[in-house]
Amino acid sequence: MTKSDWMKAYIESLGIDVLGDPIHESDADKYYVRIGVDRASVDGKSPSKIKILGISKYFESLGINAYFIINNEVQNDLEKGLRHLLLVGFDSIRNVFLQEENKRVDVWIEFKSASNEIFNDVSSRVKKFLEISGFELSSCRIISDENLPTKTNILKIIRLNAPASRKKIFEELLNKKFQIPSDDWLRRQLSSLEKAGNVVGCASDSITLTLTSLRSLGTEKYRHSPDIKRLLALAQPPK
Amino acid sequence: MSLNKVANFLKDQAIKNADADERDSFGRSAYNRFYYCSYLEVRGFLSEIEKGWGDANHSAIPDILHANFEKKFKTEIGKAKRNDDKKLVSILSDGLGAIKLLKLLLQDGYASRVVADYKPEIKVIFYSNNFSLNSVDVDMAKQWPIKTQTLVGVIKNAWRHVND
Repeated sequence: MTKSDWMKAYIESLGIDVLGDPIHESDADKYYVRIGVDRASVDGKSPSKIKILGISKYFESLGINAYFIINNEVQNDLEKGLRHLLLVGFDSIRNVFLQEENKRVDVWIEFKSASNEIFNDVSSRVKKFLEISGFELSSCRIISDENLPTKTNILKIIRLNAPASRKKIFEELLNKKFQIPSDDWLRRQLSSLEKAGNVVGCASDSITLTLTSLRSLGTEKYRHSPDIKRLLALAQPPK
Repeated sequence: MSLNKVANFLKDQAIKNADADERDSFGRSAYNRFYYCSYLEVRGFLSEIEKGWGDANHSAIPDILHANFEKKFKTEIGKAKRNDDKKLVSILSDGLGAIKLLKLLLQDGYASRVVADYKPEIKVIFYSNNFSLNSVDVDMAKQWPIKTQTLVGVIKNAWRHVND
């Protein structure tokens, strides 16, 4: 009996379904074992993580390095069904996939273009589909090409260039490859940052961070530290 | 994505072909190409960030993702929470979720690739216009490159937001 056969027999003796043969990868001296999730189990958790970890540790004590791949057929079927439902129903969706764990499902939806308008519609269909199938939607992650800067990104740009004009902030964000819908969009972002006490306007349309923001952004002790970057930026001759 | 086209061509050939040996060869080669399409996509992304990672072998990639991206994203999530930046928290959480899925996908794909290339005794099993290798359905393998592209995009986006 080969080691691979023995491993398979041992795992199956514990009531776990081994799919195919354990595969030995000689370069890393590692075995890949594909195991099935028991559809009939009440809570959908069989075999449990603890049980798999126990087997893994036992193998390790015998000098066998095993990596378990969970073949979740329920997840595969759900994914196929949901993908079909959404790709047929919405032209703007590029792809759909999901991750199921303990009856809770994380859904990933990739849009061809940002489509906030149909998000609610898509989301409610996903929820309904999962409910009918006996699952709960844990999260629905929307992936799009949208690349707007976040609050932190804007604050970091201001920290580096303070006191910075709106024009300067706009240019620096574009240099960082962020999309800025319009100057007005940036003006509104800065205005809300000011209301929240993150930035303060100085003379001649210049903006700087408040002490609270400086503290919450923090710093780092390495060559790319924001403090070093700030010093270098200050040392640059004016253009 | 030309590799993906090749993989799909091999898959179709495996289904169409009447010769048992040839269809087995086409079928297992399809798994190999579907995996490599994913692996090279990830490696290409890593080399954009750090040249040396362009030479990363198969088993090194999950470690690179963990040490350089997962850890960074976790730290940055803490900072974003302190700044009350919900959008950044969400972008980074997506990044973490994508790393988790990508690691699983690469391990899964790699195991199939080992079977396809080095275990000829494990045959491709054909059934109603489809086939599987060592219990991995080819339709699942077909999703690897598409998923990888999406997941890499999510990680790249998260990275762009925290890489100053």
